[in-house]
Amino acid sequence: MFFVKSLSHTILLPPKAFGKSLREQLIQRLRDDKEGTCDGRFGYIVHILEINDPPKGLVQAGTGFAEYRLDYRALVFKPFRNEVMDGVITNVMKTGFFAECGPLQVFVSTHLMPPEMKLETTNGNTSYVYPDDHPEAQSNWRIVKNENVRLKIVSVKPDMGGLFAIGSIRQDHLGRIAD
Amino acid sequence: MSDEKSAEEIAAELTERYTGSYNDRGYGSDYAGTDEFQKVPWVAGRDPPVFMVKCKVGREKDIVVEVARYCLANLYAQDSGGGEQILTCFSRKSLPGYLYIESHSKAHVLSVLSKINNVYLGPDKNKITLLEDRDMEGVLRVERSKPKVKVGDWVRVRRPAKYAGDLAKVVSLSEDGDSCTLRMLPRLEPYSADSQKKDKDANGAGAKRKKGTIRPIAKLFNAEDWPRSMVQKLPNGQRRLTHVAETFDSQGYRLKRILLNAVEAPIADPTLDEIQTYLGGSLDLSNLDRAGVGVGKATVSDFIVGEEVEVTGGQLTGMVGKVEKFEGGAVVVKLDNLEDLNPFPPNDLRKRFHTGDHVRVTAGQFAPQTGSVLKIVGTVATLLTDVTNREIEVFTKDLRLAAEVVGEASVAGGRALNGAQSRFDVFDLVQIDYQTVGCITHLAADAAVLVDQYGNSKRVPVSLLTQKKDTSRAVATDAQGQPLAAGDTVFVSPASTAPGGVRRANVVHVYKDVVFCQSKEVVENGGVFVVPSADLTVQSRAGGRGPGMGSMGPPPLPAASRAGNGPGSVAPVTGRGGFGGGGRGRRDPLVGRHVVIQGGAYKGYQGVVKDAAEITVRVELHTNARVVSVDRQKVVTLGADGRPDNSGFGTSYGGFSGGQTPSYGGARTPSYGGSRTPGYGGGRTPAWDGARTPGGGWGGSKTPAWDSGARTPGRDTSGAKTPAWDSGSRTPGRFVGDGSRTPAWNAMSDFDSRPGTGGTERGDRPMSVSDTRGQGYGGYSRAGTVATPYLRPPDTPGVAGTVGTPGPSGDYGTPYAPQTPAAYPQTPLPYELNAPTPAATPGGVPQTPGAYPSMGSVAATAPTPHNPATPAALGGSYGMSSVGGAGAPSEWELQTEVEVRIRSPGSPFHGLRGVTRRVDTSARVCGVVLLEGPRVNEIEVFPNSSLELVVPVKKDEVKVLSGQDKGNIGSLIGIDGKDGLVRMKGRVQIVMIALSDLGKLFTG
Repeated sequence: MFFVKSLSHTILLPPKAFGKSLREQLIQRLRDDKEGTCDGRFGYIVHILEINDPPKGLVQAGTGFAEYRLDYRALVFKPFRNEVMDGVITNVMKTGFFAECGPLQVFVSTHLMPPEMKLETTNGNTSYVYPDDHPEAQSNWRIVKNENVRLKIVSVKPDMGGLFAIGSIRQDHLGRIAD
Repeated sequence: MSDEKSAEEIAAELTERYTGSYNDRGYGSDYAGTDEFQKVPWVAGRDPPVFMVKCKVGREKDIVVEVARYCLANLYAQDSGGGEQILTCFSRKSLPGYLYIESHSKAHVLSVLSKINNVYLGPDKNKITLLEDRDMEGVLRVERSKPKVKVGDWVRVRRPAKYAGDLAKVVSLSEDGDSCTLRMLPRLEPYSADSQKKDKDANGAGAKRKKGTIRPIAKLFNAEDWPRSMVQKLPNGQRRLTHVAETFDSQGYRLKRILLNAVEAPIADPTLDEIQTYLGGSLDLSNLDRAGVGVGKATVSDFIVGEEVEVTGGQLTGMVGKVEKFEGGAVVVKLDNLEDLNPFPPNDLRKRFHTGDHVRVTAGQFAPQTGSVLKIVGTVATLLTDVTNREIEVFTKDLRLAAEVVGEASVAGGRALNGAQSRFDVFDLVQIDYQTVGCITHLAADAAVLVDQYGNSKRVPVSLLTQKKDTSRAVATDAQGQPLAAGDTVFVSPASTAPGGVRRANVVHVYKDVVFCQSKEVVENGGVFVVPSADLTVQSRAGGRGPGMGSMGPPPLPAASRAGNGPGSVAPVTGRGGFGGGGRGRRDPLVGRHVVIQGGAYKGYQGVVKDAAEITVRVELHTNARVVSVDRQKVVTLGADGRPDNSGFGTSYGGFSGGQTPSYGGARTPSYGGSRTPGYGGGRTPAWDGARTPGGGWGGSKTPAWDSGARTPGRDTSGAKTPAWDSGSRTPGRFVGDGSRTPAWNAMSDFDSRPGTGGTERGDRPMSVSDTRGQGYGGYSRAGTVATPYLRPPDTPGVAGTVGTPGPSGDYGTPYAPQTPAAYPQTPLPYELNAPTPAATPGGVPQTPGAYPSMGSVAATAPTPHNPATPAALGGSYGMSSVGGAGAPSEWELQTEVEVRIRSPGSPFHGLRGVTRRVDTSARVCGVVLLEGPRVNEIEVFPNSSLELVVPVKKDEVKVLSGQDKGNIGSLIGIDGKDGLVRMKGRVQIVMIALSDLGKLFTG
């Protein structure tokens, strides 16, 4: 789910940045530091929408660095358990498949896929398909790389540099994105 | 389905056939145990007398059989002088060498015994004893021994060797309790007409076939595999192989009567793996109970209070509730929608988890890994492990909800379980045998799964693994002729043998010309695969190496490229080529350092750098022993005082830390600069160069620097080894070590072997620190080593000189001085209240600027001004919270929404106020939302031991932390000594609760 969140961030600026472009540097630093990062509490900081006027900095004794505390509003993306979202399949394997919902990587295990779907390998492409007699089979939708998928988040946990989720498509209206 | 039903029926028949045996048929041996029997006198006068005779030890049973046989044979032969009236004949196992015969006639007894061997009747053939009544009682009494195993128990076979270690189930017990019948997977020599013939030939030729060299695999017996002539049909669908005289039940399990001392019993629950093997490799999880496996049943100790459980037996089957408490052997559960508490035997409960729950495995081969629940069927849960993304199947009774992440690496051959450090870790390269090496992908308690250099995955007992191979220096050549070493990121050629579609991977090890790579995209073998180095193209290089390749590598980055990094950020060490081309294989200076992460998901976490690459470093977190990869820029080293090292590691390392000494020491605790720097800069660096470039002019220029280093008072101080030197940061140790080892030796030997390199210069120049620097510097340039990085402007000694050499008062005046105790982060705060421990007091002494000899007197008095800075003083407010003897903070049962103060010297959060938001009682950590400091409103995780309660004052809302009101909220209406008067919410009366059991409720 996306939220607009008011956050703050403290930036230490080296003395050589004290000049006309200080403000720009601060903003740049804030964007560099924060945009695209992920926090266990707020999720991914997708975009910084608005930055309040930087307050006066405080020069640190001893180092000469100036400390700025910037308040900003950011668009954050935080996945929740039981949330349904759409994604793109990135990798299909024997054990399941990976999909990306924006920055979030989701793994859907075969245990969490409709049990009818069967693994099929044609010219090195792995995919999961419905058997021919299945009502879903006519849609021609299959789990294959670059296909869209609708999934439900089952669990989210922090991973290196981001979040990692486990998803499920074993439920009505999940899997194929209906028109 | 029909198969299974018939199996059940057969099982029932078997049970009936074997278990009831003796007693049900009315032999009445069990009668002795009933109460009625106890009341009548044991031995009445009219009972026949019992005679005792000595016999050969060990042959008692044989003799009994012989007597029986003789009596039977002569039962009706009275006329021919036989027909002796022997009523019973028996022996007792507990009385070896004696035979007992019950008969009305001594003559009859003698007559029989005289015809039997191994009975000692003496020379007169009449040496038998009539037992007195009370002796008879002892001899006739049958003690019912408690059998070691029960029918249905799992046991492990010890003998015969062919079956050693196999799992088996007890089908029946013998009457004497000595043996049991086991149902086990047969291990049969596979039949083939050829082999039979060969055996015969071999035997015929007199050659003895070597037996038991290869243990046959365990699999179910299938009559179809054998010639019909060899299989004998028995009732109940049993089959018998005639040539080996083995019996199999209808399902193909071997039934074998075996002595109880040849089995290991009782064993703890067998693992799911073993049962799967036992069930012939396939385990229908939904049918575990029906299959008669009877495992995965929980015991009381498997549950913890608050866990969600489901009732699986009794009238309330299917109901769901929460574990409330334990009573004896029962688990008391508060069922949803029911008012009362219901006790249940643990067998009737099953832990309840939901798909997606994050759980920890508490027992079995996968403990203590964590993962997410994918599927639950009956008592078996399928998990996706956190770190290796493997799917594992575990009993739900062995699971607990978990907050933290534990990977296999921390299992490391049972380290986490036994507390002992394992020799091996995941991703280690180990020698399997003389020619084979392998990269460990998974560690179980006793075995390692690894990928060998041919790409095969195999499981090897840890005991067989010999040495760990250090491949940090191994280099191979990639597709473009570029050097390739561990830690590099590589592109994998599409034509390579790598598993499907992997494009990018990290090099884990280089071994000869094969490369062990790891990629998250690969699922098998923990992502490890093997490719020839020629199939790879280096994309980016690991930190410690690039320029070290000398002329082969890319040109070193100009030193200036390192500038501009943020404060305290760690510069990539790309520029290290300045070390005269000798950089390869040298450890990155960051490795082993304590750092704090300053950005990303792990912001604020502290840890130790395990590995450092050009762009990223791998940090093992202090909190949960997890190794994370972090951008190098986001890592700040921690000084000895536990504060982020603002001068930046890149610079302090850059080869000229010596020049910065004074300022360094001045800015922070003196001990820091004083101890570390000389050893670091003055000591190590010259040695490095010296060892490599033994130039003539070198010794002269270098020596003074070294010499002065050795002579600085700081050195002397360290020599004295005040306690703080040892107990403090590691740097002093390093200094001493380096001082004695690297530079000194090299310098000296250089020196001695080259007369005329200005030996006189050495030692006769008492210099101040900055002086030395100047000299050393001059020497450098004279020697013409212009290209060395030592000449970088920012590092000029002038800078160091001006900033540095602060007076002692200056040292004390620095705001950092009070932080000195951080050097002892492990010291428990509260206990230092009583008296300053030895560590605390002298802590101040060496931390005074030992580098200045004239300060000796100052140093002596220093402890006094320093005392306030000792840890004891920091715990100021703690004095209150410890009132009432609640003990160390780690003993609290923390509750959520309680105000705490963080007591974690060395952490940037030390002293800040926060609110507990999440409490993990098992890991004893708390998620605390900070109320103060730069990261206000952000949540951080702290161990309970570094949290201290904020003591509530009158009128505060409080939360009760222990006792019967635990978790309840009230308001503190008064304080009476050590107790608080609390009016609990929703109640009229006032309760007295120890202040130490009250936490101030956060009210916003």
